[in-house]
Amino acid sequence: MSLDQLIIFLVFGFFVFVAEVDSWWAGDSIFSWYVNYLPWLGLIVLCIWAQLVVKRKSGD
Amino acid sequence: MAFSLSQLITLGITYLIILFGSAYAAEKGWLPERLTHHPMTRILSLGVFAGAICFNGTVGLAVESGSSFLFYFLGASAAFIVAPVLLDPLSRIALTHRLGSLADVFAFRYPAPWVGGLISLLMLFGLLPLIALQIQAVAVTVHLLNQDLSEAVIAIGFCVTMTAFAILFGARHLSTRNKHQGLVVALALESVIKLCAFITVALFSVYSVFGGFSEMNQWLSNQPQYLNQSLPTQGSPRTLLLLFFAAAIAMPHVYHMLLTENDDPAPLSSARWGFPLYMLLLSLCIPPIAWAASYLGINTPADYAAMGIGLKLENAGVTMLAFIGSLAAASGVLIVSTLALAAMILNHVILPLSTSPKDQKVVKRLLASRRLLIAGIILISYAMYRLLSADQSLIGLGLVAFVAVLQFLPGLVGTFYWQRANKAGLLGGLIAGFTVWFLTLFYPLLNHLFNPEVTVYLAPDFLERALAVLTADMSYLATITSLAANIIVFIGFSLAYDPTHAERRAAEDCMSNSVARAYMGVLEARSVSEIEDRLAQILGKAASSREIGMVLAELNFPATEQRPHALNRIRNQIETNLTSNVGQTMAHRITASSIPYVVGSGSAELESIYSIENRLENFKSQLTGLAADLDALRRYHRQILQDLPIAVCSIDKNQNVLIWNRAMESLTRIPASQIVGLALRVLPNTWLALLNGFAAADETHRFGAELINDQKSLLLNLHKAAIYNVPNALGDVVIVIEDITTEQVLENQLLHSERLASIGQLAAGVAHEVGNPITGIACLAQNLLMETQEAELQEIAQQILEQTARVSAILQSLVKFAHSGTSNIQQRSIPVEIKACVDDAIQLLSLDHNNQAVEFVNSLPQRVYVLGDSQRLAQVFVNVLHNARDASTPSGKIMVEYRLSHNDLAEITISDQGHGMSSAELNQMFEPFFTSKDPGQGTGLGLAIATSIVAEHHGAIRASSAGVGLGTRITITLPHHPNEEFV
Repeated sequence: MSLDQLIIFLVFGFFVFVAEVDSWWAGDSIFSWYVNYLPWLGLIVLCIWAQLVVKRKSGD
Repeated sequence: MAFSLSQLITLGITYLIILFGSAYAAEKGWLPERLTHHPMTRILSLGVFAGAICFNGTVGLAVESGSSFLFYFLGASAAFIVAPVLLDPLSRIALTHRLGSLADVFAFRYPAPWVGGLISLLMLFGLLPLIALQIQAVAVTVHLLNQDLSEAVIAIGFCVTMTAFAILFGARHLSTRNKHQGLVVALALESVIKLCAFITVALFSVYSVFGGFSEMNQWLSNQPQYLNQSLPTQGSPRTLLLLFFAAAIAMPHVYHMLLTENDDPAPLSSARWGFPLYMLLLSLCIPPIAWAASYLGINTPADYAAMGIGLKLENAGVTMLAFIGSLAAASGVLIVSTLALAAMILNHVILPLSTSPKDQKVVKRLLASRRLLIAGIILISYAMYRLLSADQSLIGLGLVAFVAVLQFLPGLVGTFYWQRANKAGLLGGLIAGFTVWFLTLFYPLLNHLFNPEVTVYLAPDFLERALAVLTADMSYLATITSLAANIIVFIGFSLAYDPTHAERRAAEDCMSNSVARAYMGVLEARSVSEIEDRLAQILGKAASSREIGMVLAELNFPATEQRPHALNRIRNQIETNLTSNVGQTMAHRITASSIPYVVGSGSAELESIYSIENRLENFKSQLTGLAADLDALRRYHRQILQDLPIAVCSIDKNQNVLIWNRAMESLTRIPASQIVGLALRVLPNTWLALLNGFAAADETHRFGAELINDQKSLLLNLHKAAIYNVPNALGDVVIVIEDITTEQVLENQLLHSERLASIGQLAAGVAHEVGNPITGIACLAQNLLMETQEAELQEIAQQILEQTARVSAILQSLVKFAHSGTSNIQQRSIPVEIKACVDDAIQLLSLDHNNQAVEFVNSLPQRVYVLGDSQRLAQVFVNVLHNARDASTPSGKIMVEYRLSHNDLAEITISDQGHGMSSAELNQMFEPFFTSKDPGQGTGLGLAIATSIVAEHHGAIRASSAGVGLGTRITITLPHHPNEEFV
């Protein structure tokens, strides 16, 4: 699975289970409120990585 | 806490000076290019998406619905994070074909005169609530700061200012090829201002309102309702995500900053993470602001919580910052969406209705029209704002616009992922979707105007309505129903009606990775100049000439280009370039009317193998499974054809060359790149006559056709076969050409050798038979000489003896020549010193005093050996030196020189200063019985015998002469033998 496919898969998974994720966010989470943002940040890091991979390949 | 009018005006003017100043500086090139063209500037300009909905609406949502506001940011971010799904293909076709708006994209994919106009009008209709809410946000914000100013007056002032900015910095050029750098920089600056304002207010909320981060968390732990708010409707989060996902792609202001004001794909790849990061930073600020607003119990509406915090705590700095942020957010959306809509309406509604312009003032008229449209759209938006109920929630208004934009998503997805999608489906889907949208979302907005007694579906209180929009079944159902109706009708109609040829080709263009458009057929115009003339009938001569010059430069084609496929590319590029000026609809209309295709030439049956191959190349990366296997098989067969050692070319029924393999390139010395796709008539006359004549002839084989190519005579065998690609109809012709020139030369040499061998055998037989009577004659003459005393008879006998001796010598030479090559030289080979051999030959020749005296100079070094028969080699040198002496003038000098060649061959050169030889004589001099001497002076066998002997020694002999009177040089090459073992 390529990095792009992984990112699309994760976003699609979030879309499908968004209601459950939202309930979890709004429920008695043991995490702080800003933890919700960490998966989002993770996706951004994956996008940066994907861009670097493309750049490296085009550089080759 | 209130602000005076002068304070607000000063602040507003300061902000506008910064905004206008940055735009002006960028336009004038005062700002460094590394800043204005930096990918980060482009990414920040995309922050235009975060309008009043973001700065005001989502804060209000966070106050009431907790984490629900996140879906706005997540949905928009997802559009960029999964860019390969929609944004990448969209940007590819938009940048390649210079599609300046979503209307251009739809008009390109679903070719019909009405598509662009329909999309433009629906987009305008759908976006009016969004633009109106920007006006409302600014009007309410300023009104909260100064109650003396009415919202209506504030809104007018805001609209006038934004109209001026949009006209000054967003409508300076008509063509999208000229980018508005000032607008990009100004919007990037606005995004920075918005972010800074949000971060400052958020930090103020955390540290000044709560007293610190841990204190805020402590307060939150005591107020669980602020963390536990969730949406009761299960479908809503998904619907919201989809809404904002579609908005981030299809909103005209995002498209405008992403693709219209950008012609470089590099910032787009950075936007994939840059835009989500920007949205993440904005969204991180919202919860603290919302909680601080709840904590303080602000007096302002929740949509304006950021400013409400400053007002509540009477902090002028925070209040002003929130005001500026709100102003920046609203003005960005208003300016860019108005610009984009004005361009769409102008290109797809106004221009198609006007007559074709030819004069030079057309650009000015179009620019004026565009500026009027900008003012008109802002005026309509203002009217919409005024017609709306005064206390509409921002998020409620925004959702109405977002649902409208969502209706374009099925058509957009079909553009890239469904080849069968067609304009009937698009039209049906849009009508169905927008009808449901109008009845369920738009009409209720204005319902209070028509029926004041009926309570609008949005409750009077803005907070309740904001929540209702997200939670009420009506809202959810309206969104889902409109989208479902759209999708069902889109699919149904697309299946019910077959796509046209143009739609199929447009689908291929959108679905392939190539920048080249699909082949559409043969153009009526046969040359570039003809295209230019035809285009001039619509655009005028000057504009036509300019467009053609630009296209030829872009494609790197010469003005003499005639290849049908090249002309097709020129036509497509003209359409692309015109699209950036007048939009896809007009560009298509202009090219379709001025540079039409030959009727029927674009049908699939007549499409050439060349264009099919081109399209397959474009689709290469998308082929999978069986299709990929078939493509691999095609490439394999193609490669076989290319690498065949026999020349192959294929000609279609229009006399265009389709295949020209490597052997054909080598034979004709015409590269495939110069002929494939071209008509046969551009070939040089010799090849044109041969191929054209043979292709048209009834014969399927032609043997021994002669042709002069590059001053070289060629002998060719031609074979042809008809390719039947349509049942019962003659298709293309494949011609195979064999070059038999070399074989023919070898065959001639063989025949010559055989003839010589026969002559030799005959001569030997004759010599043998003639020898006996000659011997008898010689004996009788000898007897006569001895027996007679008469002087006369003795003289006669002597003459007979001399003549018989001469005949015997000739016969002996003949027999020797005939027997040459039959002896096994290897068995008698010993190392022979060449110098000694040449000395012997010179010595023998010196004994003959009847011939003229010449000087022999033997320059050969000693101890140079070759392997062979010394007697026979001496005969070679005797024969050659003898000829040299005969050719020399009295007292002439004959040089014998030596050189060891690089491939270890001993080269002995005998050169004289005699009468030399012509090229004709040189060609024949080694043949038997050829002599340049006077009759009776030579047998013509000397050099033939020498050649034969040298060949027996695995050597070669060749002659050269600078010309008649300049001497002759004979070079004998023999394998050199290392002499170390004989030292």
